[in-house]
Amino acid sequence: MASGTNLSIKKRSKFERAISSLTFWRGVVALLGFLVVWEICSRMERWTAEYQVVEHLIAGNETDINKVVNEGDVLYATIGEYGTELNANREMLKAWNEKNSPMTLKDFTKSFVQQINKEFKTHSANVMERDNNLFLIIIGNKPEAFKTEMTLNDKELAGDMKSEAFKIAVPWIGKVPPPTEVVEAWTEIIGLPGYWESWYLSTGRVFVGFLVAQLIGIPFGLALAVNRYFRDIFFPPFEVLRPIPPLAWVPASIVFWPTTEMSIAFVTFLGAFFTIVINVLGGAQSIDVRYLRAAQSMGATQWHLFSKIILPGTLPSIFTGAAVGMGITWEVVLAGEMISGGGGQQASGGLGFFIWSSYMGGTVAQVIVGMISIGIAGYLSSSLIRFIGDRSMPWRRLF
Amino acid sequence: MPSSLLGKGAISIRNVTKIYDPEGVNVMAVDDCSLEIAAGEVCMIVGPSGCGKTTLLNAIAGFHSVTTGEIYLDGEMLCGPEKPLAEQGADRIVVFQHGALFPWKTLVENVAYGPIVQGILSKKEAHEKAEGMLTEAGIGDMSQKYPGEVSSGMARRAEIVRALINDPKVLLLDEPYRAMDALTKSIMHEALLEVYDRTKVTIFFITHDLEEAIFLGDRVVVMTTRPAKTKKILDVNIPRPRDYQVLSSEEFRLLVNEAKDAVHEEAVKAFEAGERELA
Ligand SMILES: Nc1ncnc2c1ncn2[C@@H]1O[C@H](COP(=O)(O)OP(=O)(O)OP(=O)(O)O)[C@@H](O)[C@H]1O
Ligand SMILES: [Mg+2]
Repeated sequence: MASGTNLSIKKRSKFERAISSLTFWRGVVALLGFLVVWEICSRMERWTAEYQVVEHLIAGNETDINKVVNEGDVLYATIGEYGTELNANREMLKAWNEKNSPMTLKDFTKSFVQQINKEFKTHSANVMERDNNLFLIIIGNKPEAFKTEMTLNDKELAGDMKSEAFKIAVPWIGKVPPPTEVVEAWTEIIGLPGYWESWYLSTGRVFVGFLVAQLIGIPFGLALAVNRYFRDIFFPPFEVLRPIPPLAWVPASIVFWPTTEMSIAFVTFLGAFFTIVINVLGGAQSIDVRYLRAAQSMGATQWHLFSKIILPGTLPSIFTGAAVGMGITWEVVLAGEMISGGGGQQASGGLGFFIWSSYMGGTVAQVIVGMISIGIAGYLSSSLIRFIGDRSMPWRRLF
Repeated sequence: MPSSLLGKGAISIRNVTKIYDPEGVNVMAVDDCSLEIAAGEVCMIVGPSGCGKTTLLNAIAGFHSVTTGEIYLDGEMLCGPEKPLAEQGADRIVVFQHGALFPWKTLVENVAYGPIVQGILSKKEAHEKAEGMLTEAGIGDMSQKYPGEVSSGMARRAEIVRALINDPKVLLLDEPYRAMDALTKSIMHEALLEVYDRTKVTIFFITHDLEEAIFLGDRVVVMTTRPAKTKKILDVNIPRPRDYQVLSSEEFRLLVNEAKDAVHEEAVKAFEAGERELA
């Protein structure tokens, strides 16, 4: 009785153990410290700047972006010392109206944007349409960086256009919105179905590409490892194709595949495929010859050698390949979504497109929300792989 | 003599030569080596490092071919001029220098592997038998653990059980207790002797440890430096079952000294040969 109970080591859950360890709290403190520094640095400029309100912006009478603009409408923007482009646009509008059918407010704003981009190479302007409003975004870095949103439907003033006379700005971080703003932007969009649809679309693409790559890559890698003829025939072309980065396949794959969705899927598949095959091949070839000899001398047939020795011996490499491959699939999917604009007509185009459209027409805070979302998605995917790996390789979970 | 004990497991090595030929550089590892090992004998092989002991063992096990010469098991040719590579088989099982339990299988799964893949026993029967044999070897309560979770001594014992479950004629051991501390080693020796007394399987045992060789063996074969052939064969006539009293006997001490002299001579030769090669 005594001997059975004297050593009762209290069993603690993983979570309990984590929060009682110093490492965990060091991590928490470091993260909080990082957020605080970020917040302070990025707010520094606003705290210290003295602003000069500059001229107003474009004025229109109605919110309807399809409204036809006529010559003579009060429709101008003055941005600091760049007031001149306004006149150019008036000229433009006049010329247009003479030659063509009347221009809508939207068309006009677009040409206005082109004008800015052409004349002021240090600025990038863009126009974005949302909720029947037009947003004009100007991101500039000279003379001082400024960025603002100007709504065309607001007759008065869309946002204070300010130019700074004096300020202390922290380089780089000063241009990034502070964490509180990011959280705020997040709470704004977290309820929107579009945001979750972006998650859904990207995750779906990643998993389809990833699974297909696993299904084809693992048998292919194993076949390369165990069969000399197979290796002699398929390894050289494989090695020639492998160094080509996935994104270099984009144009070709757009030509080959009928829909954008399919070309994204194909490029995604390629990204993971090569990594998976190389890992499986390397893993299978580096199985200790003693295991093979031991098995053979105990009478293992070729099939047993494969299923009981080579396959489990390769599992660790399969999971390494999966972890790396998963990272690459996320990269490729997001890049693909940015390039293709999210699969054409079907409105929402995944997290990559979310970031891109936030950049084009939203706020930097939204861009960061998108980036963090991707980070979380990637973390969840690799946790899933680790979890499955732990389950299927109990011998590696010794502690 | 032990040869009369059992009719199976006699190894006859006749004029075996092995030349490795990596990229045209001939390395003669074994040169015209002959050795008769009786059925049920414990034959200990000692010799300088790199002399060709593992090479000889690999030839018997069928891991690689011989260049010339023949090896017979119970009068049947394993390898010879027409068939330089012996077939691998469960009648000769190797316990490797660094251990080769499959890390992805529990001890009982490891032990049950042979009978299952040979189709001799069903999975259930094999597991039952394996459990029984592990218990006999004193590691029954470890049977559900993975090799990475048990001590190296336990792993080595399990590996010998894994070999024995196949009822081999010959156990080929390549320095199985290398790098073990003296205490574990002595426990392993007792365990092996216990197994031997029970099964009387022929044992071909490579070691660097002369005391181990004399304590365990019926004969100790001292090999020359590379290329290996037999230099000297010591008969160990200490009666079985042996225990640790033997270690302090006069007879034991004399045998160790004799073996030491022979090995030392070869080691010096090997060293000088090495110096010549460097010069
Ligand atoms: N596959 C091989 N190709 C070429 N040379 C080899 C090969 N295997 C072994 N040799 C050489 O053959 C010689 C004998 O090697 P072997 O492994 O049989 O030595 P050993 O007696 O077992 O040594 P140790 O006691 O260190 O284990 C060595 O000189 C070695 O370099
Ligand atoms: Mg060796």
